[in-house]
Amino acid sequence: MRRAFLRRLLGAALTVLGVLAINYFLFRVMPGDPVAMLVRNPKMTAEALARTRASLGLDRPWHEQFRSYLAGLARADLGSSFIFKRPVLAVIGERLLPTLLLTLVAEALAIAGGMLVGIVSAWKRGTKADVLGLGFTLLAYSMPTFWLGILLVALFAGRLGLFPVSGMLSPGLAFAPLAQRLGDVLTHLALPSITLALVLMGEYALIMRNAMIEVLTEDYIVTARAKGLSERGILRRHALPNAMIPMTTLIAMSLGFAITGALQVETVFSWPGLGRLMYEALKGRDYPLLQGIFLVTSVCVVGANFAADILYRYIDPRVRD
Amino acid sequence: MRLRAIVSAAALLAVLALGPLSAAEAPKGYLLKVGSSEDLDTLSVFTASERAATELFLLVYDPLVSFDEKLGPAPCLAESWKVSADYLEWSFTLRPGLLWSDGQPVTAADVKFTYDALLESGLGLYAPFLAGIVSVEAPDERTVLIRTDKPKANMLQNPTPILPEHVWKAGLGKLEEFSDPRLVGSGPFSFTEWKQGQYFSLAAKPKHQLGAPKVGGIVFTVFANRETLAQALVAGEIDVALNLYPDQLPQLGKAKGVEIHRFSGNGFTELALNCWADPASKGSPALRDRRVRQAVERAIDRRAIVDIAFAGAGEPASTLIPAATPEWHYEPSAAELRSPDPAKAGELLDAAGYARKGADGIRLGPGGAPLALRLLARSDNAREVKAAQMIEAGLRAVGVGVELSTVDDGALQAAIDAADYDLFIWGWGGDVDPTTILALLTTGQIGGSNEPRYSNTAYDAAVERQATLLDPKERQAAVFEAQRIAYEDCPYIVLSYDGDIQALRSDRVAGMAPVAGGPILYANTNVNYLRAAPTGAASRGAAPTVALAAAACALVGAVAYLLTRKRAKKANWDAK
Amino acid sequence: MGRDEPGTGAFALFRRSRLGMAGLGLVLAFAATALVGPALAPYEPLDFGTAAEVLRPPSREHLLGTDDMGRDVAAALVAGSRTSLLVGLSATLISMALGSAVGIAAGWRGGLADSILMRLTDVFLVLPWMPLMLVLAALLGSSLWNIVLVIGLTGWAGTARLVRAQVLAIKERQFIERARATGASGARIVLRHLLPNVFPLIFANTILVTAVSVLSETTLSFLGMGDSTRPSWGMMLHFAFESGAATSGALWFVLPPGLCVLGLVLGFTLMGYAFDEILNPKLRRRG
Repeated sequence: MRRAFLRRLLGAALTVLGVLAINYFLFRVMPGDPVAMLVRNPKMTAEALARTRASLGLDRPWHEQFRSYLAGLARADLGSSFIFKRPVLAVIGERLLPTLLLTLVAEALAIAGGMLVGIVSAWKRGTKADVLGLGFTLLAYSMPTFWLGILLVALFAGRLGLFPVSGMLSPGLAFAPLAQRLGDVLTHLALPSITLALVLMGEYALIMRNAMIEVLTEDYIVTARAKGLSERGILRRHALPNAMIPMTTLIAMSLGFAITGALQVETVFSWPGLGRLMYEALKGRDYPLLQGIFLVTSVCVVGANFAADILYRYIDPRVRD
Repeated sequence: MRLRAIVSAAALLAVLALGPLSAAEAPKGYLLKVGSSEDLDTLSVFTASERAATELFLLVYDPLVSFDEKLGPAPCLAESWKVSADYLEWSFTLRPGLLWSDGQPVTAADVKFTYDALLESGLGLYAPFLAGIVSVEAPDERTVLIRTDKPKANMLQNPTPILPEHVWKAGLGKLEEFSDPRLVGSGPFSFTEWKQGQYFSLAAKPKHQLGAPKVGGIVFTVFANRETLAQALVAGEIDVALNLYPDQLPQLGKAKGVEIHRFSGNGFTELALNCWADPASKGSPALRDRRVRQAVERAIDRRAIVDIAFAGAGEPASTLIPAATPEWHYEPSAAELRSPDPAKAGELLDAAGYARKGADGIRLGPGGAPLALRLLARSDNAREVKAAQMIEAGLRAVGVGVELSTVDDGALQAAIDAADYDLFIWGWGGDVDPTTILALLTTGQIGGSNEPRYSNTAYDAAVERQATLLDPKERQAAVFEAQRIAYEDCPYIVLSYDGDIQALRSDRVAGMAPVAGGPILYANTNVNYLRAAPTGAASRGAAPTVALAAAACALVGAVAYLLTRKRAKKANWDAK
Repeated sequence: MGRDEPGTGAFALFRRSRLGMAGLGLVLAFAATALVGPALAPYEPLDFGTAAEVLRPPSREHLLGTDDMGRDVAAALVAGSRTSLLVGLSATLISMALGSAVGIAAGWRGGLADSILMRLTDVFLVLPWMPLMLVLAALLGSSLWNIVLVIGLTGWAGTARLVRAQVLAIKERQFIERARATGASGARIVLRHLLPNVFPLIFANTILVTAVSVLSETTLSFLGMGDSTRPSWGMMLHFAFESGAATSGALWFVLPPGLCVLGLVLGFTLMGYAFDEILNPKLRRRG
């Protein structure tokens, strides 16, 4: 168990290193110069640009820049954003929270809903409930996320005027008491999180259904039935725990990915999260910020995978060393 | 446990995402709520390049001389000024008793410090306004002496914010990174908070030399989508909406209490033509011939582009200086004007040696190569992409092949820097003073802002001359001359003068009016922020919000309950 | 499911799957539209109209109304099916070829090559996928073939892992041992024995990857990174969103392109689901 753990840890570390290298060089072969992006402002003087270039370290050779980047990383310093002239971690931190809020709520809804639909579908395999469940599942699975968002905007904002469809906080509430702001954020959260949850639900329901169907045909379920256990009892005590194994992996992986999966939803609902920040950073050729975002999200995914791996070994006795 | 943790984490995150637990000290009085697509980039006069930042600086800082509601010079920190007979030495007298927001007095030394720091570093948006200044002196607390090498026509059109020396001297030598998080200033508002991507806010000061604000504070909310911006205005969530489009007017016109202001801005959208004849140029040689450039203009229908691609926003353009500043805008005579005319375009191309056409209808050059131009447009700007599609169609109709590609800002800038393009669409924002725009196309700016790499000594001379003429008539003649030359040579085909729409809830906020027939806010002056006053009808419409919030809370609570219940069962399995 | 013989029975089973056949029907319908549709449409999809023709609701002249530049929505939809299918299929070809090659090489060679290739695969699996596509699209420029390349280059890692696992399983089987014993060359064994056995899996995966590729193309175009010289569903939705068609009620410009994307992706998903169920329900990953 311990050796396996260490091996996994080393693997994860190597993956992160690979991500680092790819990030760094990918962004530097992109056409476009972060300083030149400021030229488009007619009031920027040539001296200002030269000074800015030097202050960003862009006048030094690339290997020197890479070395100082790595040295900074070792001190948990991701550098300073070109656009915002603030530490990358601070900029990311400010935008990470809204994204985490959105994805966690969406994930919670999707896991609960997806499991429910998947279990019912598998348990009632072949019945009308299954057809309905599977139909919903495949439809959600094929749905373009942004389009679903646009439809909800059209329906709830255009027709019904029920939910706010843009941003995270109503304009007048910047100085309002915390409770009022909290309530306001939740109403803003409704449509984006439902959009993301519906799409994620398709995947969860599909995996849950398949896992359940597989488990339900296993010998021990047949044995349990023969022992006269109630159907509900079989479901709870035997089928579900085993079907949860593949689900755990999927959930862990998807939690890592959800951070960037929210990009489309953030675009449609103007949610001030990491996805939109990435877009701004890309446009401004803000390499340190882009690198930071890629690094943070990749580390999240690697971390989630790693956790899933360990968890997997813990719940599934078959893969224990 | 895990799922319950997710739910509690979500609640915690919601609180964290809202920022400091104790909201910034609420301003007393009415909160003016402005919605727009614009956000800050940095909080420093030396590094900011966004329009929103200049608007913020108008509110927290003061210049020596500001603009009044007609955009004429108005005393601000300086109560009076004199200029010497040779127009080379200016003397400004500061008002007595001026204070920074931290209580320290504002002195002439602060002015000298700010100007010197900008002149020495050349950083930021404001350094160019100081061009031509050779020395700044502060002989006493209230006198600023400024010397210039040549007469400086725009000395009083200089919005440079004056910074407190006692705060900023710590930043000398590292002005690229330094910033003052509190924004200590002498302006009528003080900065409270900035949530990047969401909003920034200010609180009114009780006292200011131009009169205290009548509102208690201002919140600038960032909208990523102009539809929701309009809805927020109609719903009364905001008092002023900026950057609206004409196709939203029918919807807004029906709404109660909404006052709409359409105006043309001092920026434009242009089609740039690479006319650089240098061996390093990677542009099509065809465009080095002025007749071909003029033919391109003849093939373009600006009216249609404005109506369809720009959804009616803006006005079809001609010369460099927008019609929003009529004293500087040169209108070409009927003989000079190149209105859309495919037949004339054909004649020009025939004369330039592209008379022969290939089987596909595309003209062939003297060497037999087809006349094809690459056209770049910015992928994230739907209106410019649509304009590009229309230009492509127009050029094809006169036998010019076009290869259209959409690229992001960074890639387009790279292509411009390498002179590796034929045509592209982008825009510039202008100033009250015409120098900024005219200087774009001067020979000295090749490799910098002179993107078509256009060069004409007569143009350069006219641009340089106008900047030194203090007589309005003489200066106007020079400004006209420069525009006439550039229009004839056609390095830029200015497609439209930006039109903009701002809308205002006049039932809630009174006192604001267009500045010099133009915008209400983002108008180069803070007069409207000072004049704005609540009408009293501005009551809160919070009831539905509260109900919805309660509903949402209930929903989240229900989900949390379900999840934790599920988990409790799971715990039993583990115990088994 | 006999693993030792190629999935000959799979296609027969597929024909019995109602979901699978429904999916095939959907895909074929779109393919037919893409092939003959543009020739039949009475309007050129890129010919814009006058200001008066912008965003008109459906009428006798324009069955599905007009878009934000006065173009016929129906004509653009038909032309868009061509773009979606072309990009979806070509990008899938690239990622399948790349993924299969990496998977077979890693599984077959083992050792250091396997470690390096799998580490690379892991890196591509954890890099945020949509942002990576955006960055690559900015890097290459957004012509149609660059979009194909971008989607192909980012979508191969899942396949590589899947194929490697299958190769590892097959490698130990007797018939491979026998072939080895007879002195057949490595390349021959891979081509004659390994590939036919991995193929059903690759095929089923291909269909699912196509669904993802079509979605990717649409999403990239929606985010403004598409090829603006060709009509595509994602591009239509991009302009629909940018021009505020959803909130202003111009649903004829919002619903049809989205429904087309949904239909085509659903077609591939249904087929993939049917195949997946036939071949191995355990192996499943999205993108």
